[in-house]
Amino acid sequence: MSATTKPSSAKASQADSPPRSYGLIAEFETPAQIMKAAERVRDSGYKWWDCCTPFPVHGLDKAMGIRQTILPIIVFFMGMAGTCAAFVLQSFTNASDWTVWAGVWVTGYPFLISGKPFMSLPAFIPVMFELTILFAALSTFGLMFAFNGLPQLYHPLFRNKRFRRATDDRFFIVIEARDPHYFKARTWEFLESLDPIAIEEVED
Amino acid sequence: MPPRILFFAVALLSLFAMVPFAVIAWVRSAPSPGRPIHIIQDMDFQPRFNTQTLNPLFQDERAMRPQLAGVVALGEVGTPHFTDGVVDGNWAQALPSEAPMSMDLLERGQLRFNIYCSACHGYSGYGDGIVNQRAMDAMSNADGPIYGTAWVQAKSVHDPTVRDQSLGQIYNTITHGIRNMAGYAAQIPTEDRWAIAAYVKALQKSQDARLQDVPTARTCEPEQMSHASPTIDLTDRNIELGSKGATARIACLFIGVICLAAAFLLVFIGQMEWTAFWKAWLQNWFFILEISLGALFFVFVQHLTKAGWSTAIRRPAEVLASNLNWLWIGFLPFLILLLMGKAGHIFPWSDMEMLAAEAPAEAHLVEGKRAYLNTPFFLIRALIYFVVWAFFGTWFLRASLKQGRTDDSAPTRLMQKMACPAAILFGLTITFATFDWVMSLSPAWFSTMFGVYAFTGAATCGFSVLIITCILLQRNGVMVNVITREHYQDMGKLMFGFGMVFWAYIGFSQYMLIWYANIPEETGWFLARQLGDWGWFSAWLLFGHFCIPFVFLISKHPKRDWKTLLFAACWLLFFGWYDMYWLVIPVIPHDLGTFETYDAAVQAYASETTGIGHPVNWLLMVGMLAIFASFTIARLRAHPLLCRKDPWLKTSLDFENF
Ligand code: HEC
Repeated sequence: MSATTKPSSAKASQADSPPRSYGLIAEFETPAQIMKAAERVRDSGYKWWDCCTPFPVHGLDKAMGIRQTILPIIVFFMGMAGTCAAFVLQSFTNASDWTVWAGVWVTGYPFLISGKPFMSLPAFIPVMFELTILFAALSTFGLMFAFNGLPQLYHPLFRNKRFRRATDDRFFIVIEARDPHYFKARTWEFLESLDPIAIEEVED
Repeated sequence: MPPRILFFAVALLSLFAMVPFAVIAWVRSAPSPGRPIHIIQDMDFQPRFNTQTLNPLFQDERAMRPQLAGVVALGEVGTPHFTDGVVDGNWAQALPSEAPMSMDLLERGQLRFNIYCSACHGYSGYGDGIVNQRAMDAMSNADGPIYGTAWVQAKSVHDPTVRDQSLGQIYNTITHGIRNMAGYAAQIPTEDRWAIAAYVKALQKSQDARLQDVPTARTCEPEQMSHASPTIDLTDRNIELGSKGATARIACLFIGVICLAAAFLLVFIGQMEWTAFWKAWLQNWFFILEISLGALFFVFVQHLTKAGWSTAIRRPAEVLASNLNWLWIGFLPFLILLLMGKAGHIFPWSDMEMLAAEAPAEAHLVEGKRAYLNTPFFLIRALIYFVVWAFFGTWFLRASLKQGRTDDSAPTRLMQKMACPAAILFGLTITFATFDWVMSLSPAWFSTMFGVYAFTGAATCGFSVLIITCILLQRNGVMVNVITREHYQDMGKLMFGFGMVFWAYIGFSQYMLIWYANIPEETGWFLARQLGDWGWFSAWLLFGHFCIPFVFLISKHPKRDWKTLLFAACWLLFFGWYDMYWLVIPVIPHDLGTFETYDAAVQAYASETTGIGHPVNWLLMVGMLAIFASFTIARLRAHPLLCRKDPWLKTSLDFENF
């Protein structure tokens, strides 16, 4: 009997240990304030931090020192890959008699269409165009999600009552606990020096 | 065939089948003491007393009960302060004790104000609510007000006569209404009316506050707010050319006249055939025309879409488009040639005898188009195009100048309305003009897409010249900070999208349909552009007009930097010209149809040259561009470079891409 009532030690430590901290949030009232604060956070070397605002604030990217995304470059090359894929696909199926393994054995089938050469670029271009767009669009879509860490159904910030006003009229700076510069007391002090109207700790 | 009797039986049965319905309909509509047949009961029959009927329950047997003497509706008793807003015969200065002041009260008041009052008075109380906006639209209708004649605007609560009113008086206005405004006692409970009145006072305060009124904890330094935009100089110094550009104008005129004169001279001393010269003239003149047409397109599209971002760069576009009122001069040589009957080598349809002698097969085809392709109709059409273009080209400039002189936004609204007919007429005229002046150079050939192709050419030339103009203006120290890299990026996008990608799209679509169908009288036009040197010329067109600038401009960075954008615009402008050369100059050899194979035709014309190196082409281009520039500079100097009172100006100055 005593064996069954005794909780396993692993479970106990999980339940008893204080919840891990996700980070600190500081609340600001105006775009101008968060702008200044963001510049300070940027200059003080934090890496894992973010600003949450109810609307896009012009110039905030710069104040935060956000680097250019490399998405456009990837998308460009994905588009080019689409162009090439379409060209290869069409020239293989319409203009070659090779047999290749693509899951099953497939053989190209040179097919004479209205007396055009088998390899006739003008006829290929519409498909090349479409696949360029398709590849570019799909990779934009997918990579945008991937880079942003989406889909994410839960975020610790959502539990914070104050943070709800981030979609209404307040501006927040979040410094995450995983930042190497993060020490709770020191970061708190630093945030205080930014003159926010409130600072809170967010639990993970 | 079933027996005839069956038909009768079926017909009879169908008739009988209708009897029940007829009976029901009759019973339902005929007067009768009994209850009508009611198929769907709803709540029509329920035990209740109708008005003015008997109720034996009461002594007087009236179903409608009178009020008992001395009854007061619940919630309507209160002090005169609370119910009437009056204290000792004067309007109350403070809230009644039933509705004490609190943040909740004000927030409630704001909520109620926004629900009940903002429709007329606007969210901030200036009397500019949605109702007023609609009324203003109706009143400003060109044919006079639509509904009725008079409109009393909801009064601004910031009007001094209202601002100085006491709380009680405003409460009274809400309760009983005032003059044209109805009372809200019936809809809004008393507490809420007080809440609204309190909120109105707060609203008034918010629009009439000094720095001292703001709690110190809430103030911030003025420079803290100014992070967004550096102060933009909107004085004459920054948006008028003033004395600048005078020499440039004269120099351009000088260069233009010299170049044209030199071109004529070269032809006179026999360096070029007159036919070739007039074709080169046509090419260059149409190129200039495309610049202005592209600018006109830019202008009306901004109005059509009510675009705000472009206000800062619209004046240069308007000026470029206004050149359409003299560009018709370039057409005069063709008018004279046509009237003299000497245009047969340029427009073959104008001299059918010559065409029949030289190319009977083509003449046979063209004969069928004589109803359209004949000199009088051709000239009438040209007249229509010029009138339409000159009208719209100058109208938009004049309306915009008018807007620059008045605070009233009526000219802008008129321009937005005018943009619709402008778009339709622009589409028709540019299509038919290119059919007439470019496509009919090879009268047997046709492509329904040709008009769109020319339109994309106009976008190429117009947008690139607009970009060049803006950059040159800024280089000369005007429009500083007014035109920003954000505007350049968007102009670059337009040039990229319309002038390049769309051009390639249309050009390829036109090519592919003809290539695929492979009908001799259609393919000849493209074949002529593949013979000899023309093959390379066409390949360069594809690469120079599309592939190279596509890769160059696809990223946003080259569009945001004026140097790279200037380079791209000049490049594309050149290829706009090159494209016109490709369209106008090649002559389709008459014997193309008789060759057995494509290779044979190519062999036979292997030595065909494009003649693009001939100095006359370049002299004409430089000459016409210079004269165009001279007129444009003159007009830029004559007007402010920005419509300072445009209602969209602020949007445009603050514009940022994301
Ligand atoms: C249907 C439109 C409409 C609505 C809704 C409306 N008003 Fe008005 N209001 C008017 C008009 C019109 C006037 C001016 C009347 C006149 O001058 O004849 C006016 C005038 C006023 C005035 C100025 C009275 C004065 O002394 O000149 C006040 C204060 C005012 N309204 C408050 C309110 C408040 C508070 C509400 C919400 C409960 C409200 N109004 C709702 C149309 C409206």
